Amino acid sequence: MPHELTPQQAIRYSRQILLQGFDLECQEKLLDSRALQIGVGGLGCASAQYLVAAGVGTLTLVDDDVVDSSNLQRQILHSEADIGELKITSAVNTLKALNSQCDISAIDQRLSDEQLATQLQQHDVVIDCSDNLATRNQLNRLCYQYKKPLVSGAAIRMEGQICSFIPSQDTPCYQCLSQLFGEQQLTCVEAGIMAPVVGIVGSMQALETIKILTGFGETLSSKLMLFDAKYNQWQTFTLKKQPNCPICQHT
Amino acid sequence: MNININGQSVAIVATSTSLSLSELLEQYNAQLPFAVAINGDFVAQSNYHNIVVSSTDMIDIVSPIFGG
Ligand SMILES: [Zn+2]
Repeated sequence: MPHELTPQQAIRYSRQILLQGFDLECQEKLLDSRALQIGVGGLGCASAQYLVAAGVGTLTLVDDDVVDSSNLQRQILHSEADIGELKITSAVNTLKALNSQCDISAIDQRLSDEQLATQLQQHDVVIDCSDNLATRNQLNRLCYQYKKPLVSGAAIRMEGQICSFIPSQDTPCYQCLSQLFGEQQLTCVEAGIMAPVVGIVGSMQALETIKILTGFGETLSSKLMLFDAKYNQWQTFTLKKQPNCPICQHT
Repeated sequence: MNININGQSVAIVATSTSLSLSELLEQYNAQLPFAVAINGDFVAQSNYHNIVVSSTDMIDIVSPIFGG
């Protein structure tokens, strides 16, 4: 049963509805969609605020971390009064003030495979705003298994990357990308991050998510987009299915 | 010969008539971990030694990013 926009919603989202090819139909699809986002750190704060403002119907946030003063430089859903509180609490409060019609919920723990599988079946898309390889691999493995699109973003220093994985016979998965770097990839260097860089990458993830949910425009499936914030360069690479991938070459 | 690596022209010596990607990476002293794209296409590590690089190729050496 497709969601019909109320007159208030038609006004609220009019600037998107005005976009040629997006129209009422895509806005309705967006209002009917359910997104699962892992992480409300730098990427997650930017991604969630645009998804909620743009009119995604349901958003579930997952994060077990608490707000630290060093987060405030870039994690824009949390404020000074939230230090020491769960990130999902401040994130949900800020997002609800932004759009009371969005169905926002949150989980304050790291999900087991079983818990993640349950969540995946209740959502249409997954946004990976996590900060570690173990979580990224877990999300990829289960998204592939349950055939859910995965929007992956990452940022460090003055660099960012965005990539979407839409499970199919021909498209690569996240591990097809991560295995290109070989085994020794766990670097623990505290490298720093420039505030707007996570904002840019998180915003790109929100854009990708909207495109996947509505079918509007072209997604970054089988492509990797790299952003060099220091020298102002965007580069798009082609990513192929790896013949020896342990995740996506079983079928 | 000069090869375009990460947007910069780099002088690389070919020790034989053809230059392999692994030879190039060694001379460039690329620090692990990294992935390599030639003309925008990523290549698997297992192919580094049998890929021949020419002066018209654009090489990108990319570091992994996991931060959020
Ligand atoms: Zn794969």
